[in-house]
Amino acid sequence: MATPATGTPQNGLQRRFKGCSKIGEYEMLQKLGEGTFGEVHKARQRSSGNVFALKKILMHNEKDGFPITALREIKLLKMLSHDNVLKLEEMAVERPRAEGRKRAILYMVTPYMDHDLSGLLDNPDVKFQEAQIKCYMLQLFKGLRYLHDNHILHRDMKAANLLINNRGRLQIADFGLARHYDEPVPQRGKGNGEARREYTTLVVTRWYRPPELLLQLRRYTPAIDMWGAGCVFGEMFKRKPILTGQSDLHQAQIIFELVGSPNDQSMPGWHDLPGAEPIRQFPPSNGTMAQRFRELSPTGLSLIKDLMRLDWRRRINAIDAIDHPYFKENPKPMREEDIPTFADSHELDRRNARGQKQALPPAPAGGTVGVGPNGEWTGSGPPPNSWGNGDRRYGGPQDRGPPGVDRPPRGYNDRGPPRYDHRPPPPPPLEGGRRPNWGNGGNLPPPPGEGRHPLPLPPRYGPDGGDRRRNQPPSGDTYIPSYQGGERPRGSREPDERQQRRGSRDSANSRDGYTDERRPYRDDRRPGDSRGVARDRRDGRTRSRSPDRRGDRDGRDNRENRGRNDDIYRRR
Amino acid sequence: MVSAAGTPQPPRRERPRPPPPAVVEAEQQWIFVEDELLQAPSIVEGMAPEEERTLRRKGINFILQVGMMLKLPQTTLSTAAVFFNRYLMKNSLKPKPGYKPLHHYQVAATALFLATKVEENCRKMKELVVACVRVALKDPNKLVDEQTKDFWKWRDTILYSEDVLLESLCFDLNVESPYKTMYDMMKYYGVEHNKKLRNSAWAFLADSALTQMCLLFDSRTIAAASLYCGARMAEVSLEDDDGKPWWEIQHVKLRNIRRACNLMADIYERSPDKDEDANKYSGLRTPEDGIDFGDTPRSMEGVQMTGQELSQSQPTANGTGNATERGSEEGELDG
Repeated sequence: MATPATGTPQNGLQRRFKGCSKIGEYEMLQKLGEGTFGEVHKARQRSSGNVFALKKILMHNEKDGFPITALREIKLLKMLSHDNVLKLEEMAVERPRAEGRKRAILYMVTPYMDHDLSGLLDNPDVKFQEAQIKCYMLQLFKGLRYLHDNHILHRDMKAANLLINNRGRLQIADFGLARHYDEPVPQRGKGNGEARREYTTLVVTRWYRPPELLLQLRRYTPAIDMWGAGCVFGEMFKRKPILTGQSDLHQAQIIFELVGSPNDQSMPGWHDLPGAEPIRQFPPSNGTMAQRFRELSPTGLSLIKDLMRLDWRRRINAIDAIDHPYFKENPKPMREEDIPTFADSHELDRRNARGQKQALPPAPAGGTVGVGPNGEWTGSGPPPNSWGNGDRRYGGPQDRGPPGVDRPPRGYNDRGPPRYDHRPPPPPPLEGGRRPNWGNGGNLPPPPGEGRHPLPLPPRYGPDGGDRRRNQPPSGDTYIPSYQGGERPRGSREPDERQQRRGSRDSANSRDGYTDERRPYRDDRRPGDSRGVARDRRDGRTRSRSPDRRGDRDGRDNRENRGRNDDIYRRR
Repeated sequence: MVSAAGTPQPPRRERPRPPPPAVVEAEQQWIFVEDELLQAPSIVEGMAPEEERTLRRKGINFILQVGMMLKLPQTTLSTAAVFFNRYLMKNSLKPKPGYKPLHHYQVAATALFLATKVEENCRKMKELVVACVRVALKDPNKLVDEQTKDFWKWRDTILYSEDVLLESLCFDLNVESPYKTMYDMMKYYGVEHNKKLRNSAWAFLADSALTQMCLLFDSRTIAAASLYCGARMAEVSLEDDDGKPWWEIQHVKLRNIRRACNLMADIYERSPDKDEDANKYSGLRTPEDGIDFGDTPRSMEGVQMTGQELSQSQPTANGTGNATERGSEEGELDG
């Protein structure tokens, strides 16, 4: 540019800046989702004709300006560039034409991905071959190797956060919980190292949460993401999450049942962890990994065991996982371009089906279930958003949330308003982070729900998938009673959530007096929650984004047609 | 942050990694040549360049004063100053019909507000607003609270200007702190306990925050220049690694370090010295009989290398490297 030195200043700068554009440069195609998480649109960039996903950033707390959680995520995403990490293309600004000062509406622009892993696994029409699973796992490990090598902990590894397009590419999404890791990065052959400083344990969706987090280790390492990758690996074979605990304590219990009880060899130092006490009561277990994953070859079994090793120091790191012999033996990993594309998988149908099945029995009144709705939710079904996966923050059911609820499309980092909340997903254990995880277990009454009505139990997966049906509510929508008609007033919820937020999640970040958007974890323990088991809600879920295919399955199940015309993504 | 997977293990300490490519790219779009600084929107709108520079300095002073009142760390303040300077490369401060610009203090306050969030040093909105009002009124003890009219004016301005600022910044929020980079470099060379060196380097960064340095050089170069300055003051020489001069190990071009130092020297020579320290930068100027790169404006006149640096840099910085550097710089600007 370099305008000549003598140039008159009148020219002004000719530079074109990248990173932010006007919303007018996009042509909105369709709304992909709407919910607590905000709105996600599919949009075409006028200049290039390419399709992107635009996620609106909700301004929750007007008085603190642009949400700090959104700033964090944008900062992180802007630093990253890797084939297996969802890219933030740019930001788009919409300036409302109105009198008076109005704030702009801001959108995050990311590539449009066709599916998320959780949705694909949910789709009975999609079958994964082992070679394909290997291809996805390799991509996942490459993405994780990149993140960890760049000192980033994702902290919300789960199938729902892995996006897949029809060209076989897998990308890690949702950095709402991610943070910088101030320690030496993992080295080949050396596990995941040890951390010197402490981080908050209020991270990771419960079903994917590693044992050391459940035991409240604060000096955790990239090994927490590797555990999640192990859960995802198993999930690809089982087609549903493999460890679906209903409380943190239960989660720990089923982990130890699967991989064996902790002892000084398998998990050195475990009994010094703050959360170790209740664990001692568990009956000893030798682990059932080999029986449970009979479909895996010996090397495959060794990989999952390496990923799900109790000792976080020796848990395999991403660098070594890529070199694992499992990926060298037959069947060899498929090439991305050879992966079959998935038809639109009749998502809508699936969604509707979900709607039907969701009918879950009302849960026992419990503590505050991680749901956000304040007292307004009095319905008899499971709370719309609760549980499960902590997706409350995504507005719910997104992933494996309660069945049937329309899940927001995944893949766009659109996870809700709350998504910026950096709240970890699963029904979080601690109230405000201050209570011991399972302090409330057993049969103690739930803590007062912060003024909210007690919520019913969240739906669960489980052997008794049938009971979903047994308890079917009269109409497909009962599941979300208060949202019926799609009318739930939106405003009523946010303020409440805001008030509940407190504290910062990381010790290092604590800021006095600054309340940001995160919500505290709520106690999800439900007393007497022995009934366990999850009701199967898998059927209901999908995440496809092709809402247009309605009707394909009409004949199959009439019940499923109910509510079909509702915008599937719409939750209220 | 990013390193090639196959990098051989460093013999004794982790080599500094180059910043991630995406961050470099984002930073590059905010690096200008000096002539471009004269085409900032306010100047194009008719403001005298001197006046524009003065307003920048006043705005940054405002940031520093409010920052001190709030006990904010220097790194946050330098980030805010970068935001402020960048904003002024895209928006004018000069009113014209139909356009009522933000006042430079308003921009500064908003930049500081955003920087506290980006750098995770949040302050209560109320505290920030109160400090702004006090600094703006030049009355550090003024009683300000929610009853004060100015309180709400400032608060609303900050909140409503935030998205304008974010848009102007293209959401490029990753500002590498030169303070941190400088400290990392010192630790790398084991000189972090050399008080003289440390203080000189720190002073360099603090002084440079008041200039438009951050629009001319990336923060790593500024950090390296401060280290260079400190090393000169303390008469310490920084060691080579594997035969490579220190600046290469730190991913910085010697030529840019020199330009940055000369710029500081220029500025201090131009302004009458208010304190005797001012002259310290004159010593940084590279002596007369150096190699002239032929392409450098004012600040590079008379650049030359001395002793040790001369011999080391000759092959790299002066040889072929020079022409290509220049070429790429222009290329970027064309974009």
